[in-house]
Amino acid sequence: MTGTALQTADAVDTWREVIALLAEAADRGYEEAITNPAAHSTALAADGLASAAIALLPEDLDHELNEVALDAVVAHLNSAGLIRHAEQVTRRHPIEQLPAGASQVIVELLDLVREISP
Amino acid sequence: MTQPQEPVDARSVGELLLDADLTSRASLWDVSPEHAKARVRSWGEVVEAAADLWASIPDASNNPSMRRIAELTQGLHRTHMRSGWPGAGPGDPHLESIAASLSRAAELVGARRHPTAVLSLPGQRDAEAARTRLMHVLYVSAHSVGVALGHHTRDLQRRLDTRQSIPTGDSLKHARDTKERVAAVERLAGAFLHPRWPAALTGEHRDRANLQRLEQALARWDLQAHRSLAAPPTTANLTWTARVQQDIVVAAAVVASAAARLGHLPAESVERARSALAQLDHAWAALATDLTALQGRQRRLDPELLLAGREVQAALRDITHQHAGLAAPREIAARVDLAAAAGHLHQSLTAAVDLAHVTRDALCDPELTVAARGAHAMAISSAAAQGMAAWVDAGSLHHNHQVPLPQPVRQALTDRADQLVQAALTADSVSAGLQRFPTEAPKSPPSPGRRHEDLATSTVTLNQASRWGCER
Repeated sequence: MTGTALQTADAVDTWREVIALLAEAADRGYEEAITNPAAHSTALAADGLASAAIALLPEDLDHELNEVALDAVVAHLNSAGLIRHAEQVTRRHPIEQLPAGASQVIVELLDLVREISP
Repeated sequence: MTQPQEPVDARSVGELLLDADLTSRASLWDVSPEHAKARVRSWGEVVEAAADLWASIPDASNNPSMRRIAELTQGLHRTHMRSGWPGAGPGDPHLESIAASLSRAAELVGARRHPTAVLSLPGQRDAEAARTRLMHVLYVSAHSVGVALGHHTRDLQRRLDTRQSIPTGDSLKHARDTKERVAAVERLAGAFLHPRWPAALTGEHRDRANLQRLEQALARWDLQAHRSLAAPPTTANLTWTARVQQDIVVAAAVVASAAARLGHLPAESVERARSALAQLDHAWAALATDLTALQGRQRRLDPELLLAGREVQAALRDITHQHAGLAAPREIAARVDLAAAAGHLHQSLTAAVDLAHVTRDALCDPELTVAARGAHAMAISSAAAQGMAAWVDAGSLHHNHQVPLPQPVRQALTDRADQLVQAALTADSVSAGLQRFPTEAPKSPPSPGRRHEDLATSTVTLNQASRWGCER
């Protein structure tokens, strides 16, 4: 019917990449906040989303998050760019392949992308 | 001459559902107030098409979620017919496209399968995948209708507050009622998709008055931060606490500055507080940065602490931000009573003095562990003057296991915490001028005082403290 399977290893890897991007967005945002206080709120929102996304994965795999290598194209992105990129990455898989609860994180991520758009 | 044929939509069911998903996401980009009524007009079509598709997919579990959603939406449609709101007019292109994709998918599935047909195991999985994707489309679409209605109702409320007339054909009451009823659909879809996720996150709180929301969010945060840090501490909980506290300090400075600019608070009081708030901001940031180096991306939080912190962030952002930047002082003043907000934030700064102490205590807890590589790097850098020492064993370092804090790392963190406590005390004392409210003594009977044995430090506490190794 849909030609898809429920949760795949690839999709879980994608979810880890989303977490890594959001964590990176948070950390870069906190750095940006040193000179631009407005950036702190966005960084904190990204940080909270990273934690919400982590909560959907089994706890015993947390240590693997530090091993996720990010694409070279994100190296020069600022915090807002990383947040947008994280949303794009969520589109790689249909929702049923992502961890249960991903819908809410995605909707909140879309809300954040809209909020930080000029 | 032959008549040009209608193009045939050759997409598969999977592709149609994927297209509906992407379109529902796109609908979240465009949520200005003027989209609201068009979106409400098209919402019923989306649900009707979704219900048709759902009914055509075999479902052995007979899950009632879609039936409930369809009934709620039919009820809403009847109300709209009776009230004449939102009335005739154009529909929303995003939602109409979603409805068309879902209708086409329903036709394809209906032509191929009987809804009561017995499915093979792969067929059952496929059907479950289709239902999940379909419910996700409804969930995102309902959210987009709700967000557009939220903007619309705020727009109308602002008009009423400034004694402007509401445009003909608009109704604050009907818009609010509809928003609540669509939010119920969003919750039902959400419950189907992620029963493990706390429903409290779903957004109806956003309509509360900004000040009340802020007050409640700060009170809940203060309580929850104390609770979470009283449990065996984790680096992630400590880091999140520091970052949320920093956000409160940043917002306090923004609100106080706006209040001073517009004459809601004495400029000299705000000026006195400015430097102390900056010091406190730096102190929380320095601690959080060190802790982040020790945890990397491992940010698994106490779920209640995460929720409370996110609510504080959202409540503050609603007041202080316009898109990615800070709102202008007049815009902030239009959203909230500046002096009252500054007062609530100052109360939170007062509570933060104790939270700084609790943070310091948690950093001294022998059960606190950190990632080995971060600990190694910080220990080497902290202990550089004392020469190189193996603070973390090679095996833990290789696998980046969680390890207890090496002494130089604990020392560096408690030094940070000492600076934090000092900065919190100064900020609390200097920021007293941000409190507009008269401070009356509480009319409670005088305290009889604590019994002597309550005041004395217990032997257990002393023994525990000596184990923790934070004292110098």
